Amino acid sequence: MNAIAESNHSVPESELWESFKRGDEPSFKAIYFSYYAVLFQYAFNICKDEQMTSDAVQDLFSDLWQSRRNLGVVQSIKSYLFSSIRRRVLIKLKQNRRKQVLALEIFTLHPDIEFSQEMIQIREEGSFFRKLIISEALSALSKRQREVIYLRFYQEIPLKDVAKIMDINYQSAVNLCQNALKALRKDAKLLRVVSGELSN
Amino acid sequence: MSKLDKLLASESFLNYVLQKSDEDVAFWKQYIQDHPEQEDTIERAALALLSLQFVRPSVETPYIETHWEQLQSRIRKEAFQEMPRKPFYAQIYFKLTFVSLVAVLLLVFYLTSIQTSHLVLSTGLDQQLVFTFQDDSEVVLEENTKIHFSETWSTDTVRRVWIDGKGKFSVTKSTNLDGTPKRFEVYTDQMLIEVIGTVFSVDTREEPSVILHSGHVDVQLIGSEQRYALSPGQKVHIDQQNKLQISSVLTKTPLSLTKGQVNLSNHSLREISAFIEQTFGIQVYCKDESLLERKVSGLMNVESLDDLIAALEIVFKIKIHKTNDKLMISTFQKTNKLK
Repeated sequence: MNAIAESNHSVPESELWESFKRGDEPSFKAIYFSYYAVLFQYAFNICKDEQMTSDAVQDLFSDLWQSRRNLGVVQSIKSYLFSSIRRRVLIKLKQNRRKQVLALEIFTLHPDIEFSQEMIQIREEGSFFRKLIISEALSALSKRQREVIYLRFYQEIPLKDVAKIMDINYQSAVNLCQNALKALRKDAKLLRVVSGELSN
Repeated sequence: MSKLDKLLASESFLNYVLQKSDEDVAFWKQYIQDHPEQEDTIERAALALLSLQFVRPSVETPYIETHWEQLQSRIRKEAFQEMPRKPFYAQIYFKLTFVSLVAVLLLVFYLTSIQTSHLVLSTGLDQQLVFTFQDDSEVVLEENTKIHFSETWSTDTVRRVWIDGKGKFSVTKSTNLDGTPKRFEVYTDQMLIEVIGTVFSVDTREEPSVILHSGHVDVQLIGSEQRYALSPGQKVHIDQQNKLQISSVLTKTPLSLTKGQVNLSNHSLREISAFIEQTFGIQVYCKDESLLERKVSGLMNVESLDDLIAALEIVFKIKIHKTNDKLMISTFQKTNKLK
Protein backbone atom coordinates (compact mmCIF):
# COMPACT_ATOMS: atom_id res chain seq x y z
CA MET A 1 0.00 0.00 0.00
CA ASN A 2 1.20 3.41 -0.88
CA ALA A 3 2.44 5.66 1.90
CA ILE A 4 -0.08 8.38 1.16
CA ALA A 5 -2.94 5.93 1.11
CA GLU A 6 -1.79 4.51 4.41
CA SER A 7 -1.51 7.88 5.99
CA ASN A 8 -5.08 8.59 4.98
CA HIS A 9 -6.43 5.36 6.42
CA SER A 10 -6.92 7.07 9.74
CA VAL A 11 -9.07 9.73 8.09
CA PRO A 12 -12.79 8.90 8.19
CA GLU A 13 -14.19 8.07 4.75
CA SER A 14 -16.56 11.02 4.80
CA GLU A 15 -13.67 13.44 5.43
CA LEU A 16 -11.55 11.78 2.79
CA TRP A 17 -14.39 12.11 0.30
CA GLU A 18 -15.08 15.75 1.13
CA SER A 19 -11.40 16.55 0.95
CA PHE A 20 -11.18 14.85 -2.46
CA LYS A 21 -14.21 16.84 -3.65
CA ARG A 22 -12.39 20.03 -2.71
CA GLY A 23 -9.61 18.97 -5.10
CA ASP A 24 -7.13 17.56 -2.60
CA GLU A 25 -4.86 15.35 -4.72
CA PRO A 26 -3.45 13.24 -1.84
CA SER A 27 -7.02 12.31 -0.86
CA PHE A 28 -7.78 11.34 -4.44
CA LYS A 29 -4.61 9.30 -4.52
CA ALA A 30 -5.53 7.60 -1.25
CA ILE A 31 -8.90 6.62 -2.70
CA TYR A 32 -7.25 5.38 -5.87
CA PHE A 33 -4.70 3.26 -4.07
CA SER A 34 -7.23 1.93 -1.57
CA TYR A 35 -9.73 0.74 -4.14
CA TYR A 36 -7.85 0.14 -7.36
CA ALA A 37 -7.17 -3.53 -6.69
CA VAL A 38 -10.67 -4.49 -5.57
CA LEU A 39 -12.32 -2.52 -8.34
CA PHE A 40 -10.05 -4.11 -10.89
CA GLN A 41 -10.86 -7.53 -9.50
CA TYR A 42 -14.60 -6.91 -9.58
CA ALA A 43 -14.59 -5.37 -13.05
CA PHE A 44 -12.42 -8.15 -14.41
CA ASN A 45 -14.70 -10.72 -12.87
CA ILE A 46 -17.62 -9.17 -14.74
CA CYS A 47 -16.06 -8.77 -18.18
CA LYS A 48 -13.07 -11.19 -18.14
CA ASP A 49 -11.17 -8.71 -20.29
CA GLU A 50 -8.06 -7.12 -18.83
CA GLN A 51 -7.91 -4.20 -21.26
CA MET A 52 -11.57 -3.38 -20.81
CA THR A 53 -11.15 -3.62 -17.06
CA SER A 54 -8.14 -1.34 -17.02
CA ASP A 55 -9.90 1.21 -19.25
CA ALA A 56 -13.05 1.13 -17.17
CA VAL A 57 -11.21 1.70 -13.90
CA GLN A 58 -9.16 4.57 -15.36
CA ASP A 59 -12.27 6.11 -16.95
CA LEU A 60 -14.04 5.87 -13.62
CA PHE A 61 -11.31 7.70 -11.71
CA SER A 62 -10.74 10.24 -14.47
CA ASP A 63 -14.44 11.12 -14.55
CA LEU A 64 -14.53 11.10 -10.78
CA TRP A 65 -11.81 13.75 -10.65
CA GLN A 66 -13.32 15.86 -13.43
CA SER A 67 -16.76 15.89 -11.82
CA ARG A 68 -15.63 15.98 -8.20
CA ARG A 69 -17.26 19.34 -7.50
CA ASN A 70 -20.64 18.01 -8.52
CA LEU A 71 -20.52 14.82 -6.49
CA GLY A 72 -22.81 14.37 -3.56
CA VAL A 73 -22.33 12.90 -0.12
CA VAL A 74 -21.59 9.19 -0.13
CA GLN A 75 -22.14 6.82 2.77
CA SER A 76 -19.54 4.38 1.53
CA ILE A 77 -16.87 5.19 -1.03
CA LYS A 78 -16.39 1.53 -1.80
CA SER A 79 -20.06 0.96 -2.57
CA TYR A 80 -20.20 4.09 -4.68
CA LEU A 81 -17.19 3.01 -6.71
CA PHE A 82 -18.44 -0.55 -7.09
CA SER A 83 -21.81 0.65 -8.28
CA SER A 84 -20.15 2.92 -10.81
CA ILE A 85 -17.66 0.38 -12.12
CA ARG A 86 -20.39 -2.24 -12.48
CA ARG A 87 -22.51 0.10 -14.58
CA ARG A 88 -19.57 1.10 -16.73
CA VAL A 89 -18.42 -2.42 -17.44
CA LEU A 90 -21.93 -3.60 -18.27
CA ILE A 91 -22.37 -0.70 -20.69
CA LYS A 92 -19.04 -1.54 -22.34
CA LEU A 93 -20.06 -5.17 -22.61
CA LYS A 94 -23.35 -4.22 -24.23
CA GLN A 95 -21.58 -1.91 -26.66
CA ASN A 96 -19.19 -4.70 -27.57
CA ARG A 97 -22.01 -7.11 -28.15
CA ARG A 98 -23.74 -4.63 -30.42
CA LYS A 99 -20.54 -4.33 -32.38
CA GLN A 100 -20.56 -8.04 -32.86
CA VAL A 101 -23.94 -7.67 -34.60
CA LEU A 102 -25.78 -9.98 -32.26
CA ALA A 103 -28.83 -7.99 -33.09
CA LEU A 104 -31.34 -10.61 -32.10
CA GLU A 105 -29.90 -11.11 -28.67
CA ILE A 106 -31.89 -9.61 -25.84
CA PHE A 107 -29.60 -7.60 -23.64
CA THR A 108 -30.42 -8.72 -20.18
CA LEU A 109 -26.86 -8.79 -19.01
CA HIS A 110 -25.99 -9.85 -15.52
CA PRO A 111 -22.43 -10.15 -14.33
CA ASP A 112 -21.26 -13.71 -14.50
CA ILE A 113 -19.00 -13.79 -11.47
CA GLU A 114 -16.60 -16.70 -11.26
CA PHE A 115 -14.95 -17.84 -8.07
CA SER A 116 -11.58 -19.06 -9.22
CA GLN A 117 -9.65 -21.47 -7.05
CA GLU A 118 -7.09 -18.75 -6.36
CA MET A 119 -9.79 -16.76 -4.63
CA ILE A 120 -10.84 -19.55 -2.33
CA GLN A 121 -9.13 -19.74 1.00
CA ILE A 122 -8.67 -23.07 2.71
CA ARG A 123 -6.51 -24.03 5.64
CA GLU A 124 -4.53 -26.70 3.86
CA GLU A 125 -2.46 -24.91 1.25
CA GLY A 126 -2.40 -26.39 -2.22
CA SER A 127 -5.39 -28.64 -1.79
CA PHE A 128 -6.56 -28.47 -5.38
CA PHE A 129 -9.39 -30.93 -4.84
CA ARG A 130 -10.93 -29.04 -1.94
CA LYS A 131 -10.78 -25.73 -3.70
CA LEU A 132 -12.36 -27.32 -6.74
CA ILE A 133 -15.31 -28.58 -4.68
CA ILE A 134 -15.95 -25.14 -3.21
CA SER A 135 -15.52 -23.48 -6.58
CA GLU A 136 -18.00 -25.89 -8.15
CA ALA A 137 -20.54 -25.35 -5.37
CA LEU A 138 -20.39 -21.59 -5.94
CA SER A 139 -20.61 -22.02 -9.71
CA ALA A 140 -23.86 -23.93 -9.25
CA LEU A 141 -25.53 -20.81 -7.87
CA SER A 142 -27.43 -18.48 -10.17
CA LYS A 143 -25.58 -15.46 -11.62
CA ARG A 144 -27.33 -13.05 -9.31
CA GLN A 145 -26.78 -15.25 -6.27
CA ARG A 146 -23.10 -15.50 -7.14
CA GLU A 147 -22.84 -11.75 -7.41
CA VAL A 148 -24.53 -11.24 -4.05
CA ILE A 149 -22.23 -13.78 -2.44
CA TYR A 150 -19.23 -12.23 -4.14
CA LEU A 151 -20.05 -8.71 -2.99
CA ARG A 152 -21.22 -9.69 0.49
CA PHE A 153 -18.56 -12.23 1.42
CA TYR A 154 -15.65 -11.68 -0.91
CA GLN A 155 -15.76 -7.90 -0.95
CA GLU A 156 -17.35 -7.68 2.53
CA ILE A 157 -19.92 -5.11 1.51
CA PRO A 158 -23.08 -4.86 3.67
CA LEU A 159 -26.24 -6.19 2.01
CA LYS A 160 -27.92 -2.78 1.90
CA ASP A 161 -25.02 -1.53 -0.19
CA VAL A 162 -24.95 -4.73 -2.24
CA ALA A 163 -28.56 -3.95 -3.18
CA LYS A 164 -27.58 -0.46 -4.34
CA ILE A 165 -24.62 -1.75 -6.34
CA MET A 166 -26.76 -4.38 -8.08
CA ASP A 167 -29.55 -1.87 -8.54
CA ILE A 168 -32.11 -4.08 -6.83
CA ASN A 169 -34.17 -3.47 -3.72
CA TYR A 170 -32.88 -4.51 -0.34
CA GLN A 171 -35.35 -7.36 0.12
CA SER A 172 -34.31 -8.87 -3.22
CA ALA A 173 -30.70 -8.81 -2.09
CA VAL A 174 -31.65 -10.46 1.18
CA ASN A 175 -33.63 -13.14 -0.66
CA LEU A 176 -30.81 -13.83 -3.09
CA CYS A 177 -28.38 -14.16 -0.22
CA GLN A 178 -30.66 -16.44 1.79
CA ASN A 179 -31.35 -18.68 -1.18
CA ALA A 180 -27.68 -18.88 -2.03
CA LEU A 181 -26.74 -19.88 1.52
CA LYS A 182 -29.61 -22.37 1.59
CA ALA A 183 -28.33 -23.96 -1.61
CA LEU A 184 -24.81 -24.13 -0.25
CA ARG A 185 -25.83 -25.82 2.96
CA LYS A 186 -27.57 -28.50 0.93
CA ASP A 187 -24.38 -29.30 -0.94
CA ALA A 188 -23.11 -32.39 0.86
CA LYS A 189 -19.73 -32.42 -0.89
CA LEU A 190 -19.10 -28.84 0.09
CA LEU A 191 -20.04 -29.41 3.72
CA ARG A 192 -17.82 -32.49 3.86
CA VAL A 193 -14.86 -30.52 2.55
CA VAL A 194 -15.39 -27.68 5.00
CA SER A 195 -15.96 -29.97 7.99
CA GLY A 196 -12.83 -31.90 6.94
CA GLU A 197 -10.94 -28.62 6.94
CA LEU A 198 -12.17 -27.89 10.43
CA SER A 199 -11.23 -31.29 11.78
CA ASN A 200 -7.70 -31.08 10.33
CA MET B 1 -38.62 -18.43 3.27
CA SER B 2 -38.69 -19.68 6.83
CA LYS B 3 -37.79 -17.61 9.83
CA LEU B 4 -34.75 -19.82 10.38
CA ASP B 5 -33.55 -19.23 6.80
CA LYS B 6 -33.67 -15.49 7.47
CA LEU B 7 -31.82 -15.88 10.74
CA LEU B 8 -29.18 -18.04 9.09
CA ALA B 9 -28.48 -15.32 6.55
CA SER B 10 -28.28 -12.58 9.16
CA GLU B 11 -25.29 -10.60 10.34
CA SER B 12 -25.84 -12.10 13.77
CA PHE B 13 -25.32 -15.63 12.49
CA LEU B 14 -22.23 -14.61 10.57
CA ASN B 15 -20.85 -13.01 13.73
CA TYR B 16 -21.56 -16.23 15.61
CA VAL B 17 -19.86 -18.43 13.03
CA LEU B 18 -16.83 -16.19 12.78
CA GLN B 19 -16.87 -15.58 16.56
CA LYS B 20 -16.92 -11.85 15.97
CA SER B 21 -19.41 -10.84 18.65
CA ASP B 22 -19.81 -12.27 22.15
CA GLU B 23 -23.41 -11.12 22.17
CA ASP B 24 -24.26 -13.00 18.98
CA VAL B 25 -22.34 -16.09 20.12
CA ALA B 26 -24.36 -16.10 23.35
CA PHE B 27 -27.60 -15.60 21.42
CA TRP B 28 -26.97 -18.54 19.10
CA LYS B 29 -25.83 -20.86 21.84
CA GLN B 30 -29.06 -20.10 23.63
CA TYR B 31 -31.02 -20.50 20.38
CA ILE B 32 -29.54 -23.97 19.78
CA GLN B 33 -30.37 -24.96 23.35
CA ASP B 34 -33.93 -23.77 22.86
CA HIS B 35 -34.29 -25.39 19.41
CA PRO B 36 -32.32 -28.65 19.48
CA GLU B 37 -34.26 -29.95 16.47
CA GLN B 38 -32.66 -27.19 14.32
CA GLU B 39 -29.10 -27.89 15.41
CA ASP B 40 -28.26 -29.94 12.32
CA THR B 41 -29.51 -27.19 9.96
CA ILE B 42 -27.61 -24.58 11.92
CA GLU B 43 -24.43 -26.64 11.73
CA ARG B 44 -24.81 -27.03 7.97
CA ALA B 45 -25.45 -23.33 7.61
CA ALA B 46 -22.31 -22.60 9.63
CA LEU B 47 -20.25 -24.88 7.39
CA ALA B 48 -21.70 -23.23 4.29
CA LEU B 49 -20.68 -19.83 5.65
CA LEU B 50 -17.22 -21.11 6.48
CA SER B 51 -16.79 -22.15 2.86
CA LEU B 52 -17.03 -18.47 1.97
CA GLN B 53 -13.53 -17.61 3.13
CA PHE B 54 -11.62 -15.90 0.38
CA VAL B 55 -8.17 -14.68 -0.49
CA ARG B 56 -8.26 -10.96 -1.14
CA PRO B 57 -6.95 -9.69 -4.46
CA SER B 58 -3.36 -8.59 -4.31
CA VAL B 59 -2.09 -6.19 -6.91
CA GLU B 60 1.52 -5.06 -6.74
CA THR B 61 1.96 -1.45 -5.70
CA PRO B 62 4.26 -0.68 -8.67
CA TYR B 63 1.46 -1.82 -10.97
CA ILE B 64 -0.96 0.59 -9.33
CA GLU B 65 1.72 3.32 -9.29
CA THR B 66 2.11 2.95 -13.04
CA HIS B 67 -1.61 3.27 -13.60
CA TRP B 68 -1.77 6.19 -11.18
CA GLU B 69 0.87 7.98 -13.22
CA GLN B 70 -1.03 7.28 -16.42
CA LEU B 71 -4.20 8.58 -14.83
CA GLN B 72 -2.48 11.74 -13.63
CA SER B 73 -1.04 12.33 -17.06
CA ARG B 74 -4.45 11.86 -18.62
CA ILE B 75 -6.16 14.17 -16.16
CA ARG B 76 -3.56 16.90 -16.63
CA LYS B 77 -3.80 16.67 -20.40
CA GLU B 78 -7.56 16.88 -20.32
CA ALA B 79 -7.43 19.77 -17.90
CA PHE B 80 -4.87 21.55 -20.00
CA GLN B 81 -6.91 21.14 -23.16
CA GLU B 82 -9.76 22.83 -21.38
CA MET B 83 -7.59 25.83 -20.48
CA PRO B 84 -7.92 28.93 -22.65
CA ARG B 85 -5.44 28.92 -25.51
CA LYS B 86 -4.49 32.56 -25.45
CA PRO B 87 -4.82 35.29 -22.84
CA PHE B 88 -8.00 37.22 -23.14
CA TYR B 89 -6.45 40.66 -22.92
CA ALA B 90 -6.31 41.40 -26.64
CA GLN B 91 -9.85 40.32 -27.25
CA ILE B 92 -11.48 42.18 -24.40
CA TYR B 93 -11.21 45.60 -26.02
CA PHE B 94 -12.94 44.58 -29.21
CA LYS B 95 -15.76 42.42 -28.01
CA LEU B 96 -19.23 43.42 -27.08
CA THR B 97 -19.80 44.27 -23.45
CA PHE B 98 -21.43 41.02 -22.47
CA VAL B 99 -18.64 39.02 -24.12
CA SER B 100 -16.13 41.09 -22.20
CA LEU B 101 -17.90 40.38 -18.97
CA VAL B 102 -17.88 36.66 -19.64
CA ALA B 103 -14.19 36.82 -20.51
CA VAL B 104 -13.38 38.76 -17.35
CA LEU B 105 -15.29 36.27 -15.24
CA LEU B 106 -13.49 33.39 -16.91
CA LEU B 107 -10.16 35.10 -16.39
CA VAL B 108 -10.89 35.64 -12.71
CA PHE B 109 -11.93 32.01 -12.37
CA TYR B 110 -8.81 30.90 -14.26
CA LEU B 111 -6.47 32.96 -12.14
CA THR B 112 -8.23 32.02 -8.91
CA SER B 113 -8.08 28.33 -9.71
CA ILE B 114 -4.40 28.59 -10.49
CA GLN B 115 -3.63 30.51 -7.35
CA THR B 116 -5.47 28.08 -5.11
CA SER B 117 -3.77 24.95 -6.33
CA HIS B 118 -0.74 26.13 -8.24
CA LEU B 119 2.35 28.16 -7.55
CA VAL B 120 2.98 30.87 -10.11
CA LEU B 121 6.28 32.51 -11.04
CA SER B 122 6.49 35.34 -13.49
CA THR B 123 8.98 37.85 -14.83
CA GLY B 124 8.31 41.38 -16.00
CA LEU B 125 9.89 43.26 -18.86
CA ASP B 126 13.69 43.32 -18.66
CA GLN B 127 13.66 40.68 -15.97
CA GLN B 128 15.22 37.26 -15.92
CA LEU B 129 14.71 34.70 -13.21
CA VAL B 130 16.53 31.48 -12.40
CA PHE B 131 14.38 29.13 -10.39
CA THR B 132 15.58 25.85 -8.89
CA PHE B 133 12.97 23.20 -8.20
CA GLN B 134 13.11 20.88 -5.19
CA ASP B 135 14.67 18.13 -7.30
CA ASP B 136 17.44 20.54 -8.41
CA SER B 137 15.95 20.92 -11.87
CA GLU B 138 16.30 24.48 -13.00
CA VAL B 139 14.49 26.88 -15.25
CA VAL B 140 15.75 30.20 -16.54
CA LEU B 141 12.76 32.41 -17.25
CA GLU B 142 13.26 35.09 -19.85
CA GLU B 143 11.46 38.43 -19.69
CA ASN B 144 7.66 38.54 -19.52
CA THR B 145 7.32 34.82 -18.90
CA LYS B 146 5.10 32.93 -16.52
CA ILE B 147 5.28 29.37 -15.24
CA HIS B 148 3.02 27.57 -12.83
CA PHE B 149 3.06 24.20 -11.21
CA SER B 150 1.20 22.25 -8.57
CA GLU B 151 1.74 22.95 -4.89
CA THR B 152 2.29 19.22 -4.47
CA TRP B 153 4.86 19.22 -7.29
CA SER B 154 7.64 17.51 -5.37
CA THR B 155 5.42 14.58 -4.36
CA ASP B 156 3.52 14.23 -7.62
CA THR B 157 4.42 11.16 -9.61
CA VAL B 158 4.98 13.28 -12.70
CA ARG B 159 6.70 16.66 -12.50
CA ARG B 160 4.57 19.10 -14.49
CA VAL B 161 5.20 22.71 -15.34
CA TRP B 162 3.10 25.02 -17.48
CA ILE B 163 4.88 27.85 -19.28
CA ASP B 164 3.75 30.91 -21.14
CA GLY B 165 6.73 32.79 -22.55
CA LYS B 166 10.31 31.73 -22.96
CA GLY B 167 12.38 29.57 -20.68
CA LYS B 168 15.29 27.19 -20.60
CA PHE B 169 14.91 24.04 -18.55
CA SER B 170 17.71 21.95 -17.11
CA VAL B 171 15.99 18.84 -15.84
CA THR B 172 17.63 16.47 -13.40
CA LYS B 173 16.78 12.80 -13.45
CA SER B 174 14.56 11.64 -10.66
CA THR B 175 12.83 8.41 -9.74
CA ASN B 176 9.56 7.46 -8.15
CA LEU B 177 9.32 5.34 -5.02
CA ASP B 178 9.28 2.17 -7.08
CA GLY B 179 12.49 3.18 -8.87
CA THR B 180 10.85 4.04 -12.19
CA PRO B 181 12.01 7.26 -13.88
CA LYS B 182 9.95 10.25 -12.85
CA ARG B 183 8.82 12.12 -15.94
CA PHE B 184 9.07 15.86 -16.30
CA GLU B 185 6.39 17.39 -18.49
CA VAL B 186 6.30 20.94 -19.73
CA TYR B 187 3.06 22.25 -21.15
CA THR B 188 2.56 25.25 -23.36
CA ASP B 189 -0.85 26.18 -24.67
CA GLN B 190 -0.09 24.15 -27.78
CA MET B 191 2.59 21.64 -26.92
CA LEU B 192 3.43 18.95 -24.46
CA ILE B 193 7.12 18.26 -23.91
CA GLU B 194 7.96 15.03 -22.12
CA VAL B 195 11.36 14.71 -20.54
CA ILE B 196 13.35 12.52 -18.20
CA GLY B 197 16.60 14.43 -17.75
CA THR B 198 17.83 17.00 -20.24
CA VAL B 199 18.36 20.63 -21.20
CA PHE B 200 15.98 22.36 -23.56
CA SER B 201 14.48 25.76 -24.33
CA VAL B 202 10.82 26.57 -24.83
CA ASP B 203 9.37 29.62 -26.52
CA THR B 204 5.61 30.10 -26.75
CA ARG B 205 5.64 33.47 -28.51
CA GLU B 206 5.46 34.36 -32.22
CA GLU B 207 6.79 31.02 -33.41
CA PRO B 208 6.22 28.53 -30.60
CA SER B 209 9.23 26.23 -30.50
CA VAL B 210 11.31 23.82 -28.50
CA ILE B 211 15.09 23.51 -28.85
CA LEU B 212 16.82 20.51 -27.37
CA HIS B 213 20.35 21.16 -26.11
CA SER B 214 21.12 17.78 -24.64
CA GLY B 215 19.36 14.56 -23.67
CA HIS B 216 16.05 13.57 -25.14
CA VAL B 217 12.55 15.02 -25.25
CA ASP B 218 9.28 14.05 -26.90
CA VAL B 219 7.23 16.93 -28.20
CA GLN B 220 3.55 16.50 -28.90
CA LEU B 221 1.05 18.93 -30.34
CA ILE B 222 -1.80 19.04 -27.85
CA GLY B 223 -5.00 17.70 -29.32
CA SER B 224 -3.20 15.77 -32.03
CA GLU B 225 -1.38 12.51 -32.35
CA GLN B 226 1.61 14.23 -33.95
CA ARG B 227 4.69 13.66 -31.85
CA TYR B 228 8.40 14.18 -32.37
CA ALA B 229 11.34 12.71 -30.52
CA LEU B 230 14.00 15.41 -30.65
CA SER B 231 17.72 14.78 -30.78
CA PRO B 232 20.20 17.21 -29.24
CA GLY B 233 20.61 20.27 -31.40
CA GLN B 234 17.22 19.94 -33.04
CA LYS B 235 14.45 22.47 -32.94
CA VAL B 236 10.77 21.88 -33.49
CA HIS B 237 8.27 24.66 -34.09
CA ILE B 238 4.60 25.00 -34.90
CA ASP B 239 4.01 26.19 -38.45
CA GLN B 240 1.13 28.24 -39.80
CA GLN B 241 -0.89 25.11 -40.53
CA ASN B 242 -0.62 24.36 -36.83
CA LYS B 243 1.68 21.40 -37.38
CA LEU B 244 4.95 20.51 -35.77
CA GLN B 245 7.97 21.02 -37.99
CA ILE B 246 11.59 20.29 -37.35
CA SER B 247 12.63 23.55 -38.88
CA SER B 248 16.35 23.61 -38.30
CA VAL B 249 19.20 21.71 -36.81
CA LEU B 250 21.47 23.83 -34.72
CA THR B 251 25.05 23.55 -35.78
CA LYS B 252 26.39 24.57 -32.42
CA THR B 253 26.12 22.11 -29.57
CA PRO B 254 25.86 23.50 -26.06
CA LEU B 255 28.99 23.64 -24.00
CA SER B 256 29.57 20.93 -21.48
CA LEU B 257 32.45 19.61 -19.41
CA THR B 258 32.55 15.93 -20.25
CA LYS B 259 35.32 13.55 -19.26
CA GLY B 260 37.69 16.46 -18.63
CA GLN B 261 37.07 18.04 -22.01
CA VAL B 262 35.23 21.08 -23.30
CA ASN B 263 34.40 20.94 -26.97
CA LEU B 264 34.29 24.44 -28.40
CA SER B 265 32.67 24.99 -31.76
CA ASN B 266 32.80 28.64 -32.75
CA HIS B 267 31.71 29.60 -29.24
CA SER B 268 32.08 33.18 -28.09
CA LEU B 269 33.73 34.25 -24.87
CA ARG B 270 30.26 35.41 -23.80
CA GLU B 271 28.92 31.86 -24.19
CA ILE B 272 31.93 30.42 -22.44
CA SER B 273 31.45 32.89 -19.58
CA ALA B 274 27.84 31.83 -19.22
CA PHE B 275 28.96 28.21 -19.23
CA ILE B 276 31.47 28.93 -16.45
CA GLU B 277 28.80 30.66 -14.38
CA GLN B 278 26.44 27.72 -14.75
CA THR B 279 29.03 25.01 -14.28
CA PHE B 280 31.18 26.45 -11.51
CA GLY B 281 28.69 28.79 -9.83
CA ILE B 282 30.96 31.77 -10.10
CA GLN B 283 30.13 35.20 -11.55
CA VAL B 284 32.07 36.34 -14.59
CA TYR B 285 32.58 40.04 -15.29
CA CYS B 286 33.92 41.68 -18.41
CA LYS B 287 33.49 45.35 -19.27
CA ASP B 288 34.81 45.00 -22.79
CA GLU B 289 31.86 43.89 -24.94
CA SER B 290 34.01 43.38 -28.02
CA LEU B 291 36.12 40.92 -26.07
CA LEU B 292 33.07 38.87 -25.27
CA GLU B 293 32.25 38.48 -28.95
CA ARG B 294 35.55 36.77 -29.75
CA LYS B 295 35.08 33.19 -30.82
CA VAL B 296 37.08 30.00 -30.68
CA SER B 297 36.86 26.39 -31.79
CA GLY B 298 38.70 23.31 -30.56
CA LEU B 299 38.96 20.75 -27.83
CA MET B 300 40.23 21.88 -24.44
CA ASN B 301 41.47 19.40 -21.89
CA VAL B 302 40.49 20.85 -18.53
CA GLU B 303 40.26 19.16 -15.17
CA SER B 304 39.29 22.23 -13.20
CA LEU B 305 38.26 25.85 -13.42
CA ASP B 306 41.91 26.87 -13.06
CA ASP B 307 42.78 24.75 -16.10
CA LEU B 308 40.01 26.39 -18.08
CA ILE B 309 41.12 29.89 -17.01
CA ALA B 310 44.68 29.16 -18.03
CA ALA B 311 43.57 27.81 -21.41
CA LEU B 312 41.28 30.76 -22.07
CA GLU B 313 44.01 33.26 -21.15
CA ILE B 314 46.26 31.70 -23.76
CA VAL B 315 43.66 31.25 -26.50
CA PHE B 316 42.00 34.65 -26.19
CA LYS B 317 45.15 36.48 -25.05
CA ILE B 318 43.29 37.82 -22.06
CA LYS B 319 43.88 38.18 -18.36
CA ILE B 320 41.43 36.49 -16.00
CA HIS B 321 41.63 37.53 -12.38
CA LYS B 322 40.02 35.04 -10.03
CA THR B 323 38.68 35.80 -6.55
CA ASN B 324 36.53 33.61 -4.31
CA ASP B 325 33.25 34.31 -6.04
CA LYS B 326 34.00 35.99 -9.33
CA LEU B 327 36.20 36.14 -12.39
CA MET B 328 37.28 39.46 -13.91
CA ILE B 329 38.19 39.29 -17.59
CA SER B 330 40.39 41.96 -19.06
CA THR B 331 42.69 42.24 -22.01
CA PHE B 332 46.48 42.10 -22.13
CA GLN B 333 46.60 44.83 -24.74
CA LYS B 334 46.53 47.57 -22.12
CA THR B 335 49.80 46.39 -20.71
CA ASN B 336 51.24 46.08 -24.22
CA LYS B 337 50.17 49.60 -25.06
CA LEU B 338 51.95 50.91 -22.01
CA LYS B 339 55.06 49.36 -23.34
